[in-house]
Amino acid sequence: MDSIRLKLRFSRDGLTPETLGWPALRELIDVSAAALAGLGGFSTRDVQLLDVRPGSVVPVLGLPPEGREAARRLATGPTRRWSLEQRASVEPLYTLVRANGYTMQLGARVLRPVPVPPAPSTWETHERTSLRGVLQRVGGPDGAAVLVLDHEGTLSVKVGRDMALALAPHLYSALNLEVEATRDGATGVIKQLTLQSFEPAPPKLSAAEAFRRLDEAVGGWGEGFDVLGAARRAR
Amino acid sequence: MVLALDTSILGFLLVASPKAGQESLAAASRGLVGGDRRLLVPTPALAESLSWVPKERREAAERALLQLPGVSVVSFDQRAAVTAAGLGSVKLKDRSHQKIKVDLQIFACALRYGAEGLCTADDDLVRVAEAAEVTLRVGPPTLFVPQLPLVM
Repeated sequence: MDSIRLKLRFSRDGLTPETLGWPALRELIDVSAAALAGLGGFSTRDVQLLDVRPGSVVPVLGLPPEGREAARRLATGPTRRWSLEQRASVEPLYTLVRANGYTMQLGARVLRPVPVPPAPSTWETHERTSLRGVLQRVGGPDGAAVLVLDHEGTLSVKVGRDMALALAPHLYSALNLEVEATRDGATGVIKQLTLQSFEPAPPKLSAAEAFRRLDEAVGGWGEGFDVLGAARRAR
Repeated sequence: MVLALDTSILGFLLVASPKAGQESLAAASRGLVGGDRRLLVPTPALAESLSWVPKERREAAERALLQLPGVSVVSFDQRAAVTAAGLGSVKLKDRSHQKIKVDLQIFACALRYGAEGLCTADDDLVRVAEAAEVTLRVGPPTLFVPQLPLVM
């Protein structure tokens, strides 16, 4: 079977296998093999370490035929076409390269630079939005309202006296909340929440009762309605 | 199981007796509600489906829709917008890019809120999902809940 010999050079001032240390070199080779295997859709067992060139850190890897496409993808860098699995397989290599300030080159004959994307940014997002949640506690010395929000988890929000008094009768009730939220850009977790206003959310019903009310609400409208046709025309 | 709902499924939740030939899809769509399933309604899909309901009935329909067990509305927010921007650009002969944008917004809402799949009765949406390489299972209600009744 055809195989590909791929050179992958990691460079930094004065970097040799000796200055890097063999355990660290082993880690570099492992994450490189995992990245190529993930990009090419083959197993890391199919990646063989053939040689490490003396003087600088250039592992020579033996890859199966699919390795050609994997190497091309790695040399191009992430694109929108990459699947989540492919991104995940390359991230440990990128993290190691970024953390150590290496430059990376790759090629079968001529070595070319491999672009390493910057680390995922940790900007914060600010948004005004509506959330649904259940009020679990309000008031007390800290002037906080504890809310269990759909899709967001439990959050403690600082509220003023007037808002606390307005919220108090709705303890353990579902509420629609108008909020200003600050989220962590990387994880999406709410870091800070300011409650603007709220209104009681309609209670959840059994499926049968809810559909009865829904049918009552829409009345005779919808009899013979072409849902699929309308959905296609809407687009 | 967390599922996002497309406009067509919301349409079948709103309409009990649709056009002849679509009854089984309506029954399967309504069969999704209940159990321990969490059903997410992306705001772009909610807007499209409620636009079909006559104005005087719209508010009551929206209220009743949100009283269905397990159903919750999810916003096309800033993170969903960033997710939508990262989805593959789609070119299909018979669909304008403007129209596909709504599909991408619905996919982005489903991805952003961790849905395991997007439920739709519209084959076109499945084609767009394939073209956009969306990492989400997209298909009819029976794809996710095989034991659903085919006819009511």
